[in-house]
Amino acid sequence: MSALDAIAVKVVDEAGAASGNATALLHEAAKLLEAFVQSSTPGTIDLRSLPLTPGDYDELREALGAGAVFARVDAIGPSELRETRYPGLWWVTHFNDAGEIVAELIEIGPVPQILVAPMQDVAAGLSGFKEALVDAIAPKL
Amino acid sequence: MTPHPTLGDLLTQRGISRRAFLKFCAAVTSLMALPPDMAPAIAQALAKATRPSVIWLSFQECTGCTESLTRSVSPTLEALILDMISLDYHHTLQAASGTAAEEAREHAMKEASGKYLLLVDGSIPTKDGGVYGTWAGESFHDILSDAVKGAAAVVAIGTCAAFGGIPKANPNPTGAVAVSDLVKGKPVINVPGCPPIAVVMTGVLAHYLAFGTIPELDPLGRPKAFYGETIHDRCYRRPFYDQGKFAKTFDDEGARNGWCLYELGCKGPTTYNSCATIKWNAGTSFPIQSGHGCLGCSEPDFWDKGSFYQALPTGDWGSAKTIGIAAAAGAAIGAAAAYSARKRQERSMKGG
Amino acid sequence: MDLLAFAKGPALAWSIAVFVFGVVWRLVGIFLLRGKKDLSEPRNNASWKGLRLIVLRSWPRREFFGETAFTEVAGYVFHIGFLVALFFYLPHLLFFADISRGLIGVDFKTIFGVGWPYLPGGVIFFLSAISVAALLAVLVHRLINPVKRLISNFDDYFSWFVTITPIVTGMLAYAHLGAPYQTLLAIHILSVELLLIWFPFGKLMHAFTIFAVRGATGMAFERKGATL
Repeated sequence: MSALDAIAVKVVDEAGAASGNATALLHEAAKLLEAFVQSSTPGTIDLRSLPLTPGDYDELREALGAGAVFARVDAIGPSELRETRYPGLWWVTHFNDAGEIVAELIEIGPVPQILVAPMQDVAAGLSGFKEALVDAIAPKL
Repeated sequence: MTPHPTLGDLLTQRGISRRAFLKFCAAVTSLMALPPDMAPAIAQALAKATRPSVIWLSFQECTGCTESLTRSVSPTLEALILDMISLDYHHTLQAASGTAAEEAREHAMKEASGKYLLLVDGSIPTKDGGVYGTWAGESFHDILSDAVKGAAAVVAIGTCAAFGGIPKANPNPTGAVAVSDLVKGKPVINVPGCPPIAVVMTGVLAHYLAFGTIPELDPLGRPKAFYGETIHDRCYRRPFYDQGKFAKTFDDEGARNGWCLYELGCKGPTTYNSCATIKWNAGTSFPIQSGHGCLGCSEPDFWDKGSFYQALPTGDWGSAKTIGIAAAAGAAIGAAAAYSARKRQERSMKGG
Repeated sequence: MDLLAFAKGPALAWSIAVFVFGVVWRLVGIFLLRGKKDLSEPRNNASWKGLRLIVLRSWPRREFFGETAFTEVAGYVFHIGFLVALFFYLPHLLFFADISRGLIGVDFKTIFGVGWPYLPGGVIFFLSAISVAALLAVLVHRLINPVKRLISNFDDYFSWFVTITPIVTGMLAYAHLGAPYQTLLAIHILSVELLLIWFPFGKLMHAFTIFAVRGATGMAFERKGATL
């Protein structure tokens, strides 16, 4: 093992430099935000749609920053929703149960889509809720 | 077999909320490289989809493709997609075996006739009547011909099924052929790789689940969403290639600095796959990132296309012998030409 | 066998063999010829001095400059760009090193310790573009100039074609433009093979004969006492 230890390991991340794709995404985000302001049309950008280097991600995070809202949704793994410094512009990261990122999106809208309670779930919850209330009363009868 | 419930029914049964389902659809949309605003449409399509019956046949293979697929960590996207398909028969994975299993397969094929998806890994030997690959005396060739009849589409998983792979490599003693060499008249999707990336396999299934159609294919029958670009075009070491910074050996300064592996035999420029973007083992790494050149494993005949360690431009120019013979022949003819020219010169000088 | 495997395999082996065969034939055929005996009295016994013509003829004399400047300059631009693109681009160098190792067992690096230098791909691409521009310029000149057009033959035009095609197809392959990369690469290699096969049988042989011819002419002049 000692002979192997003698070999120096060099980690050089020359590929971490920004590639310019982050700037393109920022411009697209600005356009979608404008469309939202003008006509209330929400928008989404898939961060996986362009190859991004670690330097690009740094550039995006720096440019967008963090705002007033942070939310965590637990649905088949956690999802982290962070409003950026520009209200209406959200950075959404979907993780699976193993902590791997399955999707990373920039959403433009009043809230990220996953935060909105779907009527299907509300209806299903309501019938369960009513049943639970009945059960709570029933033993007394 | 009971009539298949829809996906939406199944998810509700398993207590998966609509919210979770929407998150899943966002992930599937991203995986298939579709515009993110298509997620609601995908959600709609998937909720209404009935679980398609899937039959998986394993022929001349090393089981690496099945390993790659099941090695995808659970519970995740891949597991959910696999859960969503009704895997009615998997030769290697299923618990049942023997005649009971084969009967179950035939039953599944009859039940879903015309609608099931046929997944094949491994090549098919054809020499000597196909005797080099059999189940209970029936050759792979016959089993495949039979199974294809009622299939809606065939997915050839792995380079062996897609292009012949290892068994087809020189000298191909068993007469191994690819699935597409035998299947005519049914759509064949090739998902090559040795093995293919797990998420690529499930992505193709997800597409079929969501849309009921075959994704757009390239001239070799591979889904363009995953095989549309070369490793070279997406490789993070590409700036080094463009700047002319190459590693000359596997342990020199260039190699330690992570420079391009072109000189060490990387076949990235001529290989189409998603290794450089999706990577392996949940995005951990891929061969080039680990310091080894691409083998070109998703291309036909990659075993026979020359050494893995010789650069792309090398190796096929002939031999010293042929060039020596050509030079000798040229010298002989040249000498003869010069001789006859000199004779003509002498004659004309004498003739005056 | 797909197109790339064919281009890199049998087509390459055959075209190199034809190239070697043809070049050796022509060179042996030329150098074994006997020159007409010069029976006059030599004015100058040091006829080896005439070898200076090899260098002197690299640039036209001032008297002729008006007529020849364009072709001379365009010619240099093409030759330099082409030769740099051919001999200072790494994938080409790997190919030559492989042949060298196959023929004589060693390559440049094993003999000299350091590798042959090379330039970044983008620089090569730029120089190739300039070479193509120069080639187009001389073709236009050949077609417009009435004298040149009159005396131009198949050899002139075909040699021009087999020279420009590898450069253009090489640029297209590098830029991944117009077809899948493997197809572009195959077409580039096939175009080089066409060049190799035509090479010994036309005016492209000047690559091997030019300096010998200049030297022989120079020595003949020197012997006669003509000023060089």
